[in-house]
Amino acid sequence: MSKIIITGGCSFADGSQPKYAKPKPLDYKMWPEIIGELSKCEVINTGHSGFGNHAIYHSVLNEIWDNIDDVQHVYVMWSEWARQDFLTKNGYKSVVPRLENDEYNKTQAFYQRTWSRPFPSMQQLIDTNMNYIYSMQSICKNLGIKYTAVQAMKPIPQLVEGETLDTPFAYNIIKHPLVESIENFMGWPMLDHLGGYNIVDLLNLSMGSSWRISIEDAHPNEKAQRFIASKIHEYSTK
Amino acid sequence: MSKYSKIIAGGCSFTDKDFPKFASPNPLDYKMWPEVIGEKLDCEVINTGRCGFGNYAIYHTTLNAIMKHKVDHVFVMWSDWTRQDFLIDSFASSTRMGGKAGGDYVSLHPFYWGIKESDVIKWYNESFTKNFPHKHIHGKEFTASMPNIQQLIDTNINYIFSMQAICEKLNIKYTACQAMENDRFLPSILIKHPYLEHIKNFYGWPMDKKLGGFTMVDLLKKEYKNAYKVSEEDAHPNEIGHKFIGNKIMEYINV
Repeated sequence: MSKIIITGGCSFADGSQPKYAKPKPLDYKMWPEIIGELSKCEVINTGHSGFGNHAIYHSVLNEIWDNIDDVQHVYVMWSEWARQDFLTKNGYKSVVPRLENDEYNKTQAFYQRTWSRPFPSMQQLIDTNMNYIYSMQSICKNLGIKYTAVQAMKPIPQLVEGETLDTPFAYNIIKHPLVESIENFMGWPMLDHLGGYNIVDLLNLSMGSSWRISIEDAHPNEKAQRFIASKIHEYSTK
Repeated sequence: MSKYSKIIAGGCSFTDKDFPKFASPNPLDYKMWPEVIGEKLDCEVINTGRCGFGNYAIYHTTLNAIMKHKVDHVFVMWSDWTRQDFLIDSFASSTRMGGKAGGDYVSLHPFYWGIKESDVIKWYNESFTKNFPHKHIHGKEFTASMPNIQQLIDTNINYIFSMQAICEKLNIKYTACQAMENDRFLPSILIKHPYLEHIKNFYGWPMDKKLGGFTMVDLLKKEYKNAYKVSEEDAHPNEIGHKFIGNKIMEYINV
């Protein structure tokens, strides 16, 4: 019987991310492959650039079913909570409504054009993402599979008077009925306001800005991916 | 005294307690199956069913209710597996392509009466290719079309198993069933799903007659032929139909 680990996430986990690095393509292992080496396991990495948590959830779960007898551990690096994924015949199309530039306005315009209704509210985003996180944890427990989760970056930063502040999100999440039921989640509850952290926080703290691929590409570079893998592996084997 | 104090019911128009008000040709007033069960169990019912919902919306609204209430039993009547729900920030009354109102969701019914498949494909392409706010991040741009049956089966099984697993984890009794069939549904694909045999507490599983299962509509047709329908123009279950469904689910849970 082969031992398999299944990993999920966005561009922070996607095995092909280095090929699209800016300003030029690179070639290095991402954290899922490094954890596979450390654990001596085959890795099925479902990470995909642009994915939100709906796509991450279903992609990981589909692989769990296909490898149910051999799965040893599931690792999920959850992505931004505002992303919305739409299932199409060729896979998921995801909106990534960022605050910088005009991405948020473009997303709102898309929602109005497509459904004549606005983009979901923060409370709706929190409820839906908490459901996915809690569901994955419950399923792994139900199936007797080890599970480790982490948050890649800030879930939903809010723009207040030109500053990105986590306070509104923190206020809403601390009231959520599931906040104390989340287990095996490194850095939970993700925000330093609440005593938690995400992967970008960890990288900033440990490496300053040297974890980035380049000034124009804010994805973790080779050194940073090794750091992430060692931190997650250490957490999951404690 | 009943051993139940509160139950949750999730579903689509076959569950929505407001459905009779919108019956065609005339509004009606009767209890839906969750309320029939609630009466029998002498307990409070939190009915999250909403007309138009697909299983993505049913999953999240039911789960949100589970997290907010201490309940004894969760009942879910899953809807048409081809429906696609989109989370939006307001109550929607209608949308293009036969989408139905659904509170936090707009739901697309790709095979709803009178909707052409070519129009659905065109809507997908316009929405998720032509008008999409982002270019595909990596790799080739693709023309977005509606999901295929394999994708729909995988996604729906994920919701069904997830609900079962969460109720087990929280030690809440759980009962599921399938409201209706869809003629696009392919039992030959469902039967190959690796977790088909692990679905539990699902009345009529695996839903399709060819696989030895049934839906609620199958049960109603067998018992009443067409007499379970609200009217010729409205194929939802009438009062007799809902009493029958409530009684059948009660028999199944054997309380």
